[in-house]
Order: sequence, then structure tokens, then C-alpha cells
Amino acid sequence: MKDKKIFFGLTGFLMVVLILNSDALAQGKFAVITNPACPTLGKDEIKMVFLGYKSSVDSYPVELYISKDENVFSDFVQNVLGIRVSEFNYHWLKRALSSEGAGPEKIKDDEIISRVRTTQCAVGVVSQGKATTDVKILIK
Amino acid sequence: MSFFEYSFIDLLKKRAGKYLNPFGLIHERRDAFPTFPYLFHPLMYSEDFKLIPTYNVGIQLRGEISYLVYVVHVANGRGSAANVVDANPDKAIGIHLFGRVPSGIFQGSLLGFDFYTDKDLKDVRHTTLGGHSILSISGIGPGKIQLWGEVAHYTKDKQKALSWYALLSYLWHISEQWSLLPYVMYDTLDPDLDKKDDEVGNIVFGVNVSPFIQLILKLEFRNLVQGKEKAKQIFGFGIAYAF
Repeated sequence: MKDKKIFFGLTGFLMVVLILNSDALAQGKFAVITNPACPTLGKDEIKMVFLGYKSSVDSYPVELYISKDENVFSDFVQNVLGIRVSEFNYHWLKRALSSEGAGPEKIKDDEIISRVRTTQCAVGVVSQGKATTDVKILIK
Repeated sequence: MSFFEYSFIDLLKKRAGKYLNPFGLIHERRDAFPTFPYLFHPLMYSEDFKLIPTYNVGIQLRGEISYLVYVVHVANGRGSAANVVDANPDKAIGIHLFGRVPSGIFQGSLLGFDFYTDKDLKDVRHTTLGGHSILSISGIGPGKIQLWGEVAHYTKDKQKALSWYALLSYLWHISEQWSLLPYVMYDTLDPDLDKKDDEVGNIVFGVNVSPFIQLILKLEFRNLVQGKEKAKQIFGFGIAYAF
């Protein structure tokens, strides 16, 4: 009983102490692209795909790629997924250790564009300047 | 653990083989210590009390969408040798189900239900009902606050057991790499509700320090009370690394 009192007392203390301001989000420098043959995805669908909650679009399996450029990666994760990079990495670590997938592959922008061009429903995050006219831009 | 999985659609996948029993918040990743705060498993997952068998061999139907995850499985259960050679005709049946919040300030919150029943080698039925939840609130300062709760009610013949725990944590992102997670937990198990003074209770204070995502250093203090015995104090330190 004494243990329970200590527990609930500390719970209340922590809740009062931890009310502070949140960080501002970074500005976007990224573009989300896909193959022109892939159905258009909205921001919410892109979010679900990159969190692993949706693995196909109109029965096409989705392949995910993210730029190796840390600024592009960070801007995308914060602005589209609404979480921190560390939370995104932790999310995929947890899924990987639960046998639920390995997460997006991090490769160079040129390679992402090349794979998006040749794969029905590949979705890639590249730097804005790299997005070419022969891919479909979902978010810029 | 070795299984085969085939995905028809996100909401329907088939998994067959030897797997960790899907139950509660962490049972399917009970060995993945970087993915939960505590240094030792809560009492409801204890190998000593066996409210839930660790492994099973069977077939699962499972699926997920952004708001919902489910697993239904039929398996050999504990009435089998090494989960493989089944000694009785009654198969184990389990259900693991939870709804979750995929985005927004409550992202990571979830609420779920579990059911598991099987028979042992003496043909005695074991049934466990469970509930699990996480309330996660982000945007509170530089991190997020989480309140975990799990409960399991176990029946074996005339024996009834109850176990639950509640954990409050705050994940503080010191930088994009470093994070600090202090937590406090109360964890208890009553192995036989009809017997007096057999209850086990832990009050736990701990902290996780993570210099990068794969590595977590865990420091924990436990005050363990068992029935009428004098309380024991346990200090623990662990290193969890994900390869």
C-alpha cells in the first residue's frame, strides 16, 4: 500500500514538471516522388506508407526510398510524418525487431530517381532540385 | 523462432511456424530489450509463473491498417513436447487485438485486448485474458510522456491469478542522437487469488540513456515485496544493443 502511494505521488509530480514548449519544425527542402503509373497518394497515405502501416497501393507493392542527405531526410520526417528523426528510427527499429519490416532504404538521390522510374509503385524522398519531369511529384 | 509469412493484403497475412505468442504490449518482442524501458520483464511475462507460454507452433492470421492490428492463431499449446509433438487433440487458440492512434499529438497511443487458452500435458485447461494500453502524449516539452498499463487474468482449473503493471515514462530527446527516459513502474502478481500473502509487488525506478538509436543503457532500482517477507532491494544495470 505504501509502495502504491509513492508510485501515484511520483506520477503526479512528473506530470506537473514536464509541461514545456515544443520545438519548431524545420523548413521543407524535399520532394516526394513516384512513378507516373502509380496512383497518386495524398499526404496522409504517404505518411501511412512511410510508417509501414500500408504496404501496397491498388494491389501494387510499394517500395520506399529516402535520400541519404540527412537534411532532406530530417525535413521530410518532421514535416510530413510529424515526428522526430529519432522517433522515426525508433519506430522502424521496433517494427524490425517485431518481424514487421525493415523500413525505407536510404540511398543516393540519383539512384532513387532511377528506381522510381523503373518500378511501378516506388515512392522516394529526394532533394527538391533533383526531382525530374519524368517522375510524378506528390509533395514538393 | 522460425516462421513463414505470406501477405495477401495488409489486412490479411498468414504466418506459420514457431513464433513468440502474440499477447500484450511486448510479448512478440520480449527479447528485443531496446524496444521497452524496463530492465526485467514485468511479472505477467515471467517464465516462473507461465501465465502465457513463451513460444508456440501454429498458424496465424494477422493484419494491420493504420488504426487496427489483429492476430488470431491456432497452435499446439503447452500440451506438446517442445511445441512440436502435440500430446492432446485440443489446440491452443489465441486472439491479440489493438487499436492505435497513427498520427497527431497522441501518436503511439493504443488500446488492446488479448485472449489465450490451451491445455497442458495433464489435460488441464489454462486460460488467460488480458488488456493493454499506452497513452502517449507528444509535444510536452522536448519529448513525450507515456503511460503504459497491462493486466492479465489467468485461470488454471480452480486456480485464478491476476497480474498488472502501470508505468509512467518521459522520453526526452536531448539531441537527434541522445535521449533520456526516466520511468517509474508498479508491477504486481497474485499467483492465487484465493490464497493470502502470496502476492508479489515491485516498485521500480529506472532510467534509459541512449547515445544512439541502437544502444540503450539501462539503470534500475527495484523494491520487491513478496507476501509477508521483508522487502528486498535490487539494483540492476543492463546494456541493450540492436544489431
